[in-house]
Amino acid sequence: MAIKLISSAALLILVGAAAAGCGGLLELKTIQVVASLATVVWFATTPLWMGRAD
Amino acid sequence: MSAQENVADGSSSSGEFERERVPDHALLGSAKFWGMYAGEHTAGTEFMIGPLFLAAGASLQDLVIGLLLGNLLAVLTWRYLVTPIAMAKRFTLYYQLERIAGASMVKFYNFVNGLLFCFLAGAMVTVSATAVGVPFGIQFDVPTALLGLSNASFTVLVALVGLVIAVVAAAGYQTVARVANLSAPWMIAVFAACGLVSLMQLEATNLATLSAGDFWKAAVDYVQQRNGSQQFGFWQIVVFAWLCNGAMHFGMSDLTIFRFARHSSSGWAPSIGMFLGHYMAWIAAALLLAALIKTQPELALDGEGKVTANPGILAFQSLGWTGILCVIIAGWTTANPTIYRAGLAFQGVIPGSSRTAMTLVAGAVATLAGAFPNLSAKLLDFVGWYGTVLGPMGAVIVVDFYLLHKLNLQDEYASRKGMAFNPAVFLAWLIPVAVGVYFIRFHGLFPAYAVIPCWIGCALLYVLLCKLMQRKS
Repeated sequence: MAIKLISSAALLILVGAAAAGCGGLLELKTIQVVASLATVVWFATTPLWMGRAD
Repeated sequence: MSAQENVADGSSSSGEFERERVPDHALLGSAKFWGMYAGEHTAGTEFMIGPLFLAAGASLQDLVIGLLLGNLLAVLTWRYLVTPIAMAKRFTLYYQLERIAGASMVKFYNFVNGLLFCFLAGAMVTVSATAVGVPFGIQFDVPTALLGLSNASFTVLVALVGLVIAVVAAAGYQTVARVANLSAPWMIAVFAACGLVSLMQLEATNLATLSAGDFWKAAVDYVQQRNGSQQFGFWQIVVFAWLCNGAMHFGMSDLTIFRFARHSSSGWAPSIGMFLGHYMAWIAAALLLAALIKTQPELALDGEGKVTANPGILAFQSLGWTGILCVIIAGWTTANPTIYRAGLAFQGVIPGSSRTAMTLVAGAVATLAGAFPNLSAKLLDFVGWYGTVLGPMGAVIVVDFYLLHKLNLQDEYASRKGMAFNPAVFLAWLIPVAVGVYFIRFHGLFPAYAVIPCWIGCALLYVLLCKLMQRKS
């Protein structure tokens, strides 16, 4: 459950960073770094829970 | 999971309920369908199709409202045309068609379907290659001639990407299916983020700027100056959004999927694919091109000075390496199962052939198709062709299911008479499709416009030919 939350949070942070950029709070380079980190977290954590129930 | 993957195969190798009704214990709840459609329709093609709307001169207002209406019509077609027949019969498209048209006719359908799958996969190989080319500085040129190659470096890159995709598909696509499942939510988030970042780059971050849409008009003007004047009107957008998956709904290809539906409400599942993939993602991808034209217009031009939608560059300028990865994964996870399905379709045509060999053949055809960049550059036309050619076969199934018994005619005629080839189906399909192809090819008809007239023509002809044939016998 905790891992699932981390994966979901990664995606929220990815989109949230872009939205923050839209609001003038973050610069493009920062958004790109956040997106890369969120991507690493997503692909590191998701295989641990997605598809396991099947 | 197994049933879901097997339905995705859409073919005859999985060994589960391919020639029988899906039994009650194997039926699936709605959640499976929602998950599958979300992933399947947020794919590599979206990176290509979205910018093409802008390049074709569509206005932002037409795009936002037209896509809404077109996607709604597509969802209704899935829900009220495909789902009722799928749940009543619970057969694959192939078996259903075999009972109506005969085994030989299904082989012919398989061949055409496999070939079109290869062209679709080819476009995805091109999309993936644009992303792989970014770190190496390889330019993506679209030649004027329909069957012209891009520059030598890009063509070699396409061959390498195609080879890798074909070999992975030939090895079986379970791993790719897993990567696709894992990636689907992430890709949706990346598309959304790309759209938001593009709005930031376009400085369209308030309602007034968005409503005025000057940033969009400026991008369209730039494209028209470089590429020549083009128009893509409201109804073209509506019809395109409705019928770009015409083969799946009007063509009944998704009978294979919905035969597993426990409840008819599963028929609403395509709405997630339409409104995330064919609405949000298309608009986001179109905004990527508008943003690139504003921030670095020189990167939007090919060697001949024309604006070209290069998905790799577009995504890289927005989300950096995450964007590149998304284009590669989106292209790869779309191309791979498509080549796999094409291989299965070819295998159905040549009994006794190995799946591996047929998948490699399909991969080779797809790679060859991918080497001609006009295929992906004309994706708006290609998906219309796809629906025009395969869609009418669905009319035969609809007539067989709803009309024949009301007209005192026998349904599933080939199965009842032991026929391998039902000429009524072949002629009812061939004549309207030939007329449609003639108007598209020689009179410049927008291909998606031909889907419904061909479908209706096929339905009427099939009723007429059934009457003639069954009266004789």
